[in-house]
Amino acid sequence: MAIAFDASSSIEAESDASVEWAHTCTGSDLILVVSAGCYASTPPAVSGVTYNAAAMTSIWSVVDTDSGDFRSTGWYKTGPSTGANTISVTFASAPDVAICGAMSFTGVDQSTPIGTEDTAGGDSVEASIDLSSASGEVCVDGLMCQGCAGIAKGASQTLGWEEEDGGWCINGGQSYVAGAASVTMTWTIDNADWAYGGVPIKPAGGGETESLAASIAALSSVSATMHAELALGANIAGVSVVNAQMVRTRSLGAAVGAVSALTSSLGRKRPIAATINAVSSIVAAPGRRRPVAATISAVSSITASLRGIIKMAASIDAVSSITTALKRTRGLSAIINAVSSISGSVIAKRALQATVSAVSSVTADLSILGKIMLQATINAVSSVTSSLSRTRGLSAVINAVASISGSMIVKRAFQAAVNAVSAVSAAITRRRPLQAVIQAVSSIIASLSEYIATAFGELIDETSTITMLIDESSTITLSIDDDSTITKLIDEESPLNE
Amino acid sequence: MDKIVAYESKDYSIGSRTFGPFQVPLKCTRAKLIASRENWPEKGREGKAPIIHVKIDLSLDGGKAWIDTYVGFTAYGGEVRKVDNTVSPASTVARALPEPDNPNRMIRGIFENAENLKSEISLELEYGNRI
Repeated sequence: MAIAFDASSSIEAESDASVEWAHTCTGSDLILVVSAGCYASTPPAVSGVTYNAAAMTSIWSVVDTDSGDFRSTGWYKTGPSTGANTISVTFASAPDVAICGAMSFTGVDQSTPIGTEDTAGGDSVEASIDLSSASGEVCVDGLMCQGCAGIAKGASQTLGWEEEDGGWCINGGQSYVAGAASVTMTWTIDNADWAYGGVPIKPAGGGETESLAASIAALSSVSATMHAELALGANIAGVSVVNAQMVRTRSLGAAVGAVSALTSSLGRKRPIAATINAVSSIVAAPGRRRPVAATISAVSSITASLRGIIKMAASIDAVSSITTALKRTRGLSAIINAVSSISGSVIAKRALQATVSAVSSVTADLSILGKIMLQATINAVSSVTSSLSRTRGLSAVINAVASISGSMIVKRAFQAAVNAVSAVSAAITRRRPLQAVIQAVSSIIASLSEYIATAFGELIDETSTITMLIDESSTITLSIDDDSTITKLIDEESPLNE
Repeated sequence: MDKIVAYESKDYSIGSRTFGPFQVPLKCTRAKLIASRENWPEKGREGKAPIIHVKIDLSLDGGKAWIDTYVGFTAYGGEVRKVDNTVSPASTVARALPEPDNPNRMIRGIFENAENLKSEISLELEYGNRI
């Protein structure tokens, strides 16, 4: 910041112990420089200078070397209060004449405001001081002299103020000039006594040239540092995010594999296909790892949640196919097959029960014949399901029932059923499962009896093939004798026994 | 040069007195505040409290706003011997007045004395460039 002149003020007094006057400071980085001079046979020292009641700092104090009647003093204060405030100069004793004034400047270094002062005193036509300064600085002075013919500042200097006590031909003044490596400040006087002092003041942030260079260097440094910091900050932030959110590539591969597996196993491929496409797209652009991580997390979540859905979807699909198949006469067989398929693929009984319930709701769309047949089958399957603990047994029963169902549309249904039961008997060695199977079949027979009586009444007469098959000499009759295992298991009330 | 006598020459008991405000004449460039040292007690010498304080305030807008202590002084009692060994007849302070073409300039003042003394308090108004 360049130093700029702000304001000046001055007074002239006689026989006063203290003088005071108003000075107005405006701006920032201010400095107030007061020149307080006096004339007396023994010029008193200046005991203190204040501005707005705040003490100022002494810069110089010099007495002329000829008569010793003139004293020049300089004082400064950085950061003076802005606005109009009172400067007060107090002398040790009242001089004959006091000439005081002040100049204020803005843009001054507040921590190191001044350089090295220079003072001089003499009896000559020119007062002169030499100041070591620098470009960007400003040199200020303060003169106290006798000059009845008037005084004149140096040509290169700018006048701050000038005062004269006409009665005594006492003069004083202040001026300033731009700083340089070496500055000589002068006043031309009337070949008389003088006391003179001055000091360079320093700009805020260094000299103009130095300030510019320093600013450029500082900005460059800051810029470079900022770039580095920004980059580093961005990297750190990015890495942190990536670290926080990324999973390993292996996880990505696992996720993709899992999704692929889902795709192949799911009936509803569209949503999962979209996910696969998204993941594939992400995998193809591995630079964007954060979305990948987020997608992987999402896919993982989908995968986990879809496991249950897959089973249910499979069951629903199966039921759907059952529904479609049931519209045909041979729907029962299809139902059985579907249920069998479900039973084989779904481990949990709950899923099977859900399927059975779903199938039950399907019966609303069936004809009476279909309902009867379906209900009987369901009951049988349910009974079997609740009774059997071993999958193998269930499968065998279902296969048996399926075989029965598939044969029921023909007149040989009962024979087939018996054959099936026989087959079951042969296949299952454990009595409890067998008992369950028999009960199931009994239930089927009981359920079908009404149907048989109505829909198949004409077929199951004395001359029917079934009757002929289930006669005294039939294989079934022979097989179920009093000593057979089956006979022992079937109690007196079992419909099968009849 | 015009002279305005704020307080005539006489003995003044300890106190604080105001004077003015006076309208500053056009083209007036300087004001000199004068307190005559007629019979000042030998008190308030160096290192002691001053016995008199005189100051003037300046207004540039007809008395709406005032620049406090535009110029003033304090003085000790006794005699002030000059370089020529004569006794100083008065304590004075002078300062240039701004805006000589401003018709709204006004001056007011305070005269305070900490000891009984005899003095005349006056203002001398100058015109034109002194230097």
